Amino acid sequence: MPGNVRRGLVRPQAWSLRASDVVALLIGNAVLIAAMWVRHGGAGDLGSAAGLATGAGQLFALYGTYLVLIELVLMSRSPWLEQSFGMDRLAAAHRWVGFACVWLLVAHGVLTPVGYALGAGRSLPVEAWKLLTTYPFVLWATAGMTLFVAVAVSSMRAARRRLSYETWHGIHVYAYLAVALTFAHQLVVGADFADDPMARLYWIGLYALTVAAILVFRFGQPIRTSLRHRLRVANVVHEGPGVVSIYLAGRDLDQLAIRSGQYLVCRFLARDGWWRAHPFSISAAPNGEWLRLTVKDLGDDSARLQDVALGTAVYIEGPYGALTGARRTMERVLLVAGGIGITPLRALLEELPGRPGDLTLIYRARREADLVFRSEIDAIARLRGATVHYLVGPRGSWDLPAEPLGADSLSTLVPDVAERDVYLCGPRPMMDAVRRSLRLLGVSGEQVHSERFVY
Amino acid sequence: MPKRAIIAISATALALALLFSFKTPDVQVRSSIGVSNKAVGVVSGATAAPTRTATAQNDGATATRAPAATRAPAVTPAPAATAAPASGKLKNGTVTGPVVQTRFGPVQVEVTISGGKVADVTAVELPFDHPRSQEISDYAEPILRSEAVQAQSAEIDLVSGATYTSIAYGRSLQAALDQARG
Repeated sequence: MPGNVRRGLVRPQAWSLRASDVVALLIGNAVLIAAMWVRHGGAGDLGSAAGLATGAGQLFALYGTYLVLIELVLMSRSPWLEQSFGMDRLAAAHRWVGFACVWLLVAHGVLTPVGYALGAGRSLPVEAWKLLTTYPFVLWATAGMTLFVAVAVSSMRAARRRLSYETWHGIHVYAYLAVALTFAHQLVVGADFADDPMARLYWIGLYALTVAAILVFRFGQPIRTSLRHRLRVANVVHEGPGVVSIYLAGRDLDQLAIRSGQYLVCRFLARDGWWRAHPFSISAAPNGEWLRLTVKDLGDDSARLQDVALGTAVYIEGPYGALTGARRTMERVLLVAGGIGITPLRALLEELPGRPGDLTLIYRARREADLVFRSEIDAIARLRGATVHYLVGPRGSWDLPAEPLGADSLSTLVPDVAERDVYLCGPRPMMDAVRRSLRLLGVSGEQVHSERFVY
Repeated sequence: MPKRAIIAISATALALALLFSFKTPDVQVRSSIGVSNKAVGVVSGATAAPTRTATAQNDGATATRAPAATRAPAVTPAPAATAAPASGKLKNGTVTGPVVQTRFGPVQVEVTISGGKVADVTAVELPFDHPRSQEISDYAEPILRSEAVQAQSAEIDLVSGATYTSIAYGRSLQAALDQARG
């Protein structure tokens, strides 16, 4: 049986860029930057304190800026990156690289004035004042750096817990301003660019490519997709406590290149809430006529969506997500869902090709009421000959194994798990536990496919 | 939330307006000492010398570059010159060395010789295009000058942080001294 894939639906474009190409590109540029630093005398005088501070300050500035550009590309939602790495890994890298680049830039902001002051035999405050007031664009750069630091501080765990998503995101947007403010001083004052037209050209090129990626993928494509398909809320159905399905209708949906397991970042264009974008998996295989999103009230802004008005226009970014049939390596498949993590897996259960017996779903939920789509899932399972195991109840329930998703339990439920692809979606601790169990059962990392939503 | 956003955006716009209205002093002024030598040619003979020193100083006074005062050439650190001059055959007068190009700009020196000794070395031209070059030139020049007067030759130590300028300074000086030996 060929599965439930409808012919004629547009498939997402496959990019030929591989993860290894991306890594090679990153390393190549890093080496080039080091070479540039040496060529421009950055390493020329590391013996003296002044030369060491100046040289290191220059190197940190170069790499800090390089990381800033990488940071922007990571969040440009470029499909060629997303396809190889998945948005969750990109976001994790974005967090790590973000703190690294701010540290490097702060080091540059301290070391360079110190180096200049030592070299000229002036006190640091005098030198700093001279830099701010007589060096072109250094004041702008300092303002930009302050913004970078603000963005980093607002993203630290302690601050992030206290700030609302909106405030945090608002501060984050200032990073764009910081990038703009710090650009000019590099070309005019920077030891690497002020006197070397080739280096300047290369640097401007890096910036131009980065900006292009953002304009095209972060803004251009979503605007085009949204205008093309003009999605509107067609129906809202309550699925369970705090869970609704939102049906979206629009034009030419058979031309929207989306597949099961993927998600859309949606902005509901109502008077309140249009500024907030949410990622939502489609919870039914795309059929060319409508899309279904299923939303759980997480106590934040998503509560508003419980009663979104019919007809509300929806601006979409995406589709994104690599948790699709394209990842498949084996004939048989195990889907493991935790709670509302069922949404993409529900769509995959419908779409993934397979004969009777090839598909198995394990659906873990705290309470019976939290099992959404139960009747749908049962119907699909009957139709496709799929096996479904519901594991319901708090840990330690009398009718559950002690470790419901432990290795023992999994191998009992799915004895041939080592010969299956495993698609995994749910809360992080649950996914970690399943991954550990799968390792014990000899399932290789390449067989396990998962994606967390991180925005 | 939108109200707070509007306040934030207005505050940002105001801050940017203030930031953009700030202008750094124009640094694209050419070296104060280097202006007049253009007319003199690359290597000027000893005869041209006496007047040139004067014009150079005048230029220095009129140019807008603020820190020029630090290099006032009037106070010659008259050499203790216990060491014997290298090869004793220097002709009295003033000799201008060739312009030596560096990555950061041209370097050219002028040597004043009296009593067969190097009495003073003046930088006719040093890199001043960028504020950083200007800063390096400002602190390197007095050091290089006193080194040269002390050594009575072009064999001077490199000034840390001003490697390119030091090398070019030495080369221009060497050529000037060669010329003074005739």
